[in-house]
Amino acid sequence: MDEFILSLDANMLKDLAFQLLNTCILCAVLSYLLYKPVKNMLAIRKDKIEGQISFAESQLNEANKMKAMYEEKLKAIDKEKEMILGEARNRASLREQEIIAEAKAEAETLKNRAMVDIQREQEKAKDEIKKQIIEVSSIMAGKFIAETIDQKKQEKLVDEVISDLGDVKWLS
Amino acid sequence: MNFSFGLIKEMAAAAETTTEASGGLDIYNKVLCDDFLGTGFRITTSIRNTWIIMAALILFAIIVRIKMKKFKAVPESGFQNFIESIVEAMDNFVGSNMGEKYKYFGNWFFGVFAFILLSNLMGLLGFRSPTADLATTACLGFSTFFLIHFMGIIKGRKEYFKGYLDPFPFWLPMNIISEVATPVSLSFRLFGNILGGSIIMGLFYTLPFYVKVGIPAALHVYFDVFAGFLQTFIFVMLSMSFIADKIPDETKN
Repeated sequence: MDEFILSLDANMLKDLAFQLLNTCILCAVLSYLLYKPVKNMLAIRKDKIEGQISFAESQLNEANKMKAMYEEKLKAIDKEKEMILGEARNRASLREQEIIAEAKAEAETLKNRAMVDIQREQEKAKDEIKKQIIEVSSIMAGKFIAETIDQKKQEKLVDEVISDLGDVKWLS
Repeated sequence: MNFSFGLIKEMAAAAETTTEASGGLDIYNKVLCDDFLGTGFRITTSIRNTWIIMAALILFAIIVRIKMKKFKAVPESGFQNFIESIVEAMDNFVGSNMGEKYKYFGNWFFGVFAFILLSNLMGLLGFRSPTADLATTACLGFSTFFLIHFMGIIKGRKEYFKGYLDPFPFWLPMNIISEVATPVSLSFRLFGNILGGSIIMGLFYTLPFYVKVGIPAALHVYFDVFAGFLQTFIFVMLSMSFIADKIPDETKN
C-alpha cells in the first residue's frame, strides 16, 4: 500500500477533483436537506411573528381609540346624568311646591267650609235664641196679663226675665 | 513526485514504526484502492474519511429533515434550538461578511464549515483528518478561488479587470501573483495546521505508555478542538471576505 504525506503529482489532482465532487455533493445535500428548509422555516416564522406583532399593535391602537371614545361617551353620559338629575330635582321641587300649594288651597277650602258651617250654626243658634226669647216674652206677657201685679212684683218679674235672658246671652 | 520533508519524514517514519505496536495515530495518507470502479480515481484515507463525514452529515441532515415536521413555532426541544441556532449563526455570519443580498452563499459555506470542522475534529476519534491532505484543502481553496473570480466577473466586470491594473498598470504581475496566492495560502494554512497537529499527536502516541495518561487529552483539546475550530473559522471567514472583496459594494444590500 502506498503511503504519503504530501505528493504533488497527477494523482493529487485526481484526488483534488474527487474531493471537489465530494464537497459539492455534501454541500448540495446539506443545503437541500438542512440549511434551506430550516432557513425557510425561520423566515416564515419571522414573517408570522412580525405579522402578529403588527396585528397586535394595530389592535392595541384600535383598542386605545375605542377606550378614548368610550371615555368621552362616559363623560357625556355623566353630563347627561347631571342634567337629568338636576331636571328631576327641579321638577320635584316644583311638584313639591305645587303639592304644598294644593294642600294649602284644600286646607283653605276646608277651613272656609268649616267657617261657613260655624256661621250656619251660629245663625241656627241665634234663631233658636230668638225663638226662646219670643217664647219667654210671650210667657211673660201671659204672666203680666194673668196677674194684676204691683209695681214691686212687676220689677221682680222683669228682673227674672232679664236674668233668664242673661243665661242664654253667651249663645248670641 | 513524493516530497521528502527531511525531519518530518524521519519523524513520521519513527512514528510509523511504533504505530502498529502502540495503536497510535496514523500520520500517513494511505492509498486504499488504486482504481475506483475503473474510473481511474484512487481512494485514499482522506477520501474514505471524507465519505465517513459525508455519511454522518447527510444522515444528520435526514434526521433533521424528518424531525423538522415536529418543529414548533415556539421551540421546545433542545434539538430544534440547536438546529435553529447553527443555521441562524451561519446566516448572520454570511450576512455580516458578504452583505444581506449574498446570504445565499450560506448554502455553500454551511456545508464547507461543517465538513472542515468535522474533519478537523475527526482526530479525536483516531481518524486521520481529511484536511491533513493537501488534495482536500486545495479543493476547498480552489472552490474559493473559483467563487472569487466568478463573482468578480459577473457582478462587476469593469471593476474586476481594472482591479488588476491598480494602483499602476505595471503592477499587473504582482496582482496576478497575489490572486494566485490567495487559494494557495488558504489551502496551505489549513493543511499545515491540521497536518502539524496530527504529526505531533502521532509522535506523542509513540512515547511510553506512562506519559500517555491524561496528557494526550490536553493535546487533543489544543490541536484538534481549538486549532480545528480556529482553522475552520479562519478558512470560511477569509473565503467570505475574499469573495465579498470582489463584489462591488453597491450591490451588497
